Amino acid sequence: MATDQQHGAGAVQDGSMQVVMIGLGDEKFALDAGLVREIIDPVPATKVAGARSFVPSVINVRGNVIPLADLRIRFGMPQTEDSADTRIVVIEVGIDDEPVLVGVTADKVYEVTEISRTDVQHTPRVGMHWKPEFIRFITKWREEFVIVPNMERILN
Amino acid sequence: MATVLTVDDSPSIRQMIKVVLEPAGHNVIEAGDGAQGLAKAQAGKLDLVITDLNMPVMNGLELIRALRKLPSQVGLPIVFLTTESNDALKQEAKSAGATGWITKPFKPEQLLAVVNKLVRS
Amino acid sequence: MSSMDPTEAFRQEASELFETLEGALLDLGLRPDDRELVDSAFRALHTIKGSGAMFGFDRVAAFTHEFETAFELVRKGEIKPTQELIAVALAAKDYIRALIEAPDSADSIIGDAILDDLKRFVSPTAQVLPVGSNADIPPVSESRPAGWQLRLEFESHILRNGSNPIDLLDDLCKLGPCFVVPLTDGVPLLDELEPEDCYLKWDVTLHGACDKAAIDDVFMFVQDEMKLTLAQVERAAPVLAMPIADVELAAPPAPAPTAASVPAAAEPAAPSERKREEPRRTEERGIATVRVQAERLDELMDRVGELVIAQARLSQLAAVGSDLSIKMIAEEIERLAASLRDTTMGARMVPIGSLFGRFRRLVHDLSRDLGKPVEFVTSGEDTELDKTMIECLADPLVHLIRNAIDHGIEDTETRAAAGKTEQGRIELQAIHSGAQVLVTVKDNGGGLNTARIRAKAEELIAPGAAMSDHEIHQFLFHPGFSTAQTISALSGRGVGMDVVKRTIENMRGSIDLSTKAGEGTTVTLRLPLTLAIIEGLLIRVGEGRYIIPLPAVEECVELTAEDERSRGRNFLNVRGNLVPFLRLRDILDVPGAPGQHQKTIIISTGETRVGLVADQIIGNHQTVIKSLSKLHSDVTIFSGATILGDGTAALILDVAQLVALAQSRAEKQQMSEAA
Repeated sequence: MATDQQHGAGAVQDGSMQVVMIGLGDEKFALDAGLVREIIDPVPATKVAGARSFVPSVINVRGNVIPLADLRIRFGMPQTEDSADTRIVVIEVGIDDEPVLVGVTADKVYEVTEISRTDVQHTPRVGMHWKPEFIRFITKWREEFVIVPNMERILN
Repeated sequence: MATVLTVDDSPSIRQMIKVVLEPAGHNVIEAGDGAQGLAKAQAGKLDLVITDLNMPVMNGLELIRALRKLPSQVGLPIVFLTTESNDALKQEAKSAGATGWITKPFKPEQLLAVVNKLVRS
Repeated sequence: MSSMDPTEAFRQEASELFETLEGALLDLGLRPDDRELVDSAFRALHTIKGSGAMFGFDRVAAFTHEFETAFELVRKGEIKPTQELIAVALAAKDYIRALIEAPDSADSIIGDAILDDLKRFVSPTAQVLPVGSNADIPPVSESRPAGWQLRLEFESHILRNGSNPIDLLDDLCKLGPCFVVPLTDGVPLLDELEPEDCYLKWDVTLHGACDKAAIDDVFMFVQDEMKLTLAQVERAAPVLAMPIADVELAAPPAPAPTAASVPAAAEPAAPSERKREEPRRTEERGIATVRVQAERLDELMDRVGELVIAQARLSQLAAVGSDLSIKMIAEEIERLAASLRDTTMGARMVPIGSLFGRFRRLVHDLSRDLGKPVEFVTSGEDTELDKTMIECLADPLVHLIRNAIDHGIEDTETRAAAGKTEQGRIELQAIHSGAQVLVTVKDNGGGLNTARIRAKAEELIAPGAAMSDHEIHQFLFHPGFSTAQTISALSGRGVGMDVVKRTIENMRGSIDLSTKAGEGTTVTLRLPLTLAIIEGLLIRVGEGRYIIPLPAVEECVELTAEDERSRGRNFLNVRGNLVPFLRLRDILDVPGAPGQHQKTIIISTGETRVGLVADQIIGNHQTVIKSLSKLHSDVTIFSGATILGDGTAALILDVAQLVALAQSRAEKQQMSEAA
C-alpha cells in the first residue's frame, strides 16, 4: 500500500494517489497511504499534562510510546465518544527533519482507495473554520468532498 | 616441560625469566655467572641455556665455548642475551657455538617464543 | 617472590620516572626553550616504553610509542612546547601511569583522545600517525603470495650447535600447510656417517599467504649456517605443484628424520605458545577482556528493555490468574530478566576515574597560567557510569573546572583580604546515590556575583522583574550568556554553560548550581547510572499513573490534616523542617476533589527537598525508559515514558524540573510574604 513516496508531496504526479479514507465527525479525510504504517483498534491513552491540545496523550504501540493526535481539535470539530468503529491510524511524519510515529484517531476507517488528480478542487470553500495551510487539497470521492490534510503542517 | 638454565649476574633478569617460564611449565635453574653456570650444566641434564654475555668470573662467550666441549650436553640449545646494536658480538657468540639469541629489551612473549622454538617436548 | 618480583620492581622504577617526567614537563611550561628538559622528558618516556615492553605492559609500550612519535617534532625543536601541548603531555603521562597502575580503569578511548589532541597540536606540519590501537597490529607486507617453494640446506655442524632442522620444519608448518620432501642424496654410506652431522636437505612447498618475514623468522638463528632458496608460488598454482625441476617425487623417505610430513594444516598458528602464555596473563590483568562494539551493547540493552516490559506484562497476568505454576514461571522469568538487565548494564559500566586523571593536569596548568595556587582534590574515582556517559562528560567537566578556577577562585590578594587561605581549593567528586551518580565540581572561591548576573540578564528580560536568586542563576545556562568582563583565553569562549546543560540533559541528567557569596560555588551534575532502565516508584494521581525515579525519592509521608488546612502555604513540616511541596493534582491538571489519604513523596536533588502530593503510592516499578516524541518536547515536567504491566503508557516525572518549579514558587511566596 505504500506506493507513494513517504511524505507524499509529489504523490499525485501520475494523476492518482493511494489514500486511506477516514471519517472524523461528519467530514471525510484522505490520508496519504504512503504515510500510514498501520491501523489499530483503540488502546487506552495516557494524558500528557501540559501538552498542546491537538496531541493530548500518548499510547503504547508495539512497545513504543507514541503521541496520539486528535485532528478534530486541530480542525475545531466537536469531540465524539469512541465507538465500535473508532480506530487509530499510525502514520509517520517528518517533524524537524526526523521521522516521528504519530497515532491519529479516526471515528471510522472506510477503505484504502485511489483518488484522482482530475477530481482535485482548489480553494476550500467547505468548512470555513479550517486553516488553509492544513489542507493540501480537496478532492471528490463518491460524490463527496474529501479533504487531503497536510499532516506535517498540522502536527508542527 | 624443560629444564632451563639462566645465567646472568642481574638477579632481576633471572627473576623475570623465571617468572615467565615457570608458569609456562618449565623448570628454571639460576646461575649468577659463567662458572656457576658451567658447574650446573655439568651437574645435570639441561634442555636450554639462556646466558648473558657480559658477566663477572666467566663471561658468556667463555661459557658457550666450555658448554660446547661437554660431551654430556651435545646439541644443547644455548641462547644468549644481547642488545640490538652489537652485531659483531652476536657473530662472535654464534661462532662460539650459540644456537640463538634474544635481543634486549624483550617481552615475555618473545622469550617464550624463543624457548618454544628451541625446546620441544 | 614478593620482594623480588620484577614487575613490582618495574612499577617502582616507573613511578620514579613519572615524577621525573612530570617535573620536566611542568618546568618546560616555564622554560619552553630548555632543550635539556625536552631531552630529560624523552629519556624518561623511552625508558618507560622499553621497560614496559619488557615486563608485559604492552598497552603502555604501544601508547608510549605513539606518544613519543607524535612528540617527535618537539624533540627536534620544530614545534614549541605550548601550554596546551604540555597539558596533553601531562594527560598522556597520567594515562600511562593508569595503564601501569590500574590497567582495567584506563580506557583506551582516553588514550586515543589524548593522541588525537596531540596530533591536533603538532599538525599541520606533522605527518599523520597511526592511531594508538593500530600499534598492536603487525604491519602487513606488501606482497602476500599464494605460497612459497623452499629448499633448505644446512651446514653439517648445525645439530651440534643446538639447532634442530625438524623443529624448524615444524615451525614452517605453522605458517601454513606444508608439503615436505627430504632429499637424501647427500647421506653417506653408514661407515662414513658422522652421527652428529646433518646430511639431509629438504624441499618444502608452503601453502598460505604468509610473508617472507615470517619465513625469515623461522630461520633467524641459523640463516648464517644454511642455504635457503626461496621462490614465490603463483596464486593459480595447484596444491602439490613442485616447480623445482630436479626433485624426485618418488624419492623414498629418509630413514630417520621425517617427522614433519605432509599437512599439519588447519592448526592455528603456534597454539602451544598461546596456551602457555595464558595463565601468566590472566594473573597479571586480573580478568580477560573482550572488545565489543558499542552498538552491539546498545542493541543488547534494547532487547533487554523489551524483555523487561514483556516480563512485567507476564507477571501482571500471572498475578491476576490463579494458575500457580504460571506464577512460578513468571517469578522465575522476573528474576532472570532482572539479573540479565543488571549484567547488561554492568557490561556498559566504566569507572569515572579514567576521566578524572585528565583534570589533575588541567588544574595544575590553569593554576600556573592564572597565578592562582589551587589545590585539586578528587574522590570517588571508582564510581562507575555508563560508557557513553563517560565519553560525553569530558567536555562539560573541563568547562566547569575552567570556570571554577578562572571565575570562581579569587586572586591571591582578594583571598588574603577576605581572610581566606592563599591556596584555592577545587573538589571533583563522584558518588553513587541510588541509581544516580552525582558528579560535583566545588570551589571555595568568591561565589556567583548575583547582581552582575542580574544586570546582564536584564538585557534579556524586563528590568526590575521579581526573580529569586535561583532564577537569576538560571540565566547562566542561557545560550551566549557570559558575565566575564574580560574574555580570557581560558573561559568565556567555546562551549558555554548552555552547552554543558544541554549535554547533561541529553543524558537524562540535570545540572544544579548552588553558591554562597564569599564561600564558593558548587555545580552538581546528576546522572542516571544507565540510559535505559531505572527503578521507579509508581504512583497514582487522579486516574493517571506516573513514575518517580526511585533514586530521587527520600521518603513517603502522610499529608496531615494540618498540612491540608494550610491551603495557601505550600510548605510541609517534615520533622521540624519546612519543605515546599507541590500538589501533583494541580500540576497534572486533574479535575475533581482529592482523595482522603493523600500521600507526600519527598524527593530531593542534592540538598533541595521537595514534597510531591499524590493520591496513592502503588509500589516499585522496573522502568524501561522510552523517550517522548518531538511533539511533546515542549512538555518539561516529564522526562520520558514507560510501559506498564497492563500495556498502557505511563509518564516519568522529571524530578529536577519539579524541584525547580517548587523552589521558585516557594521563593516567590517568601518574597511576597516579606513584602
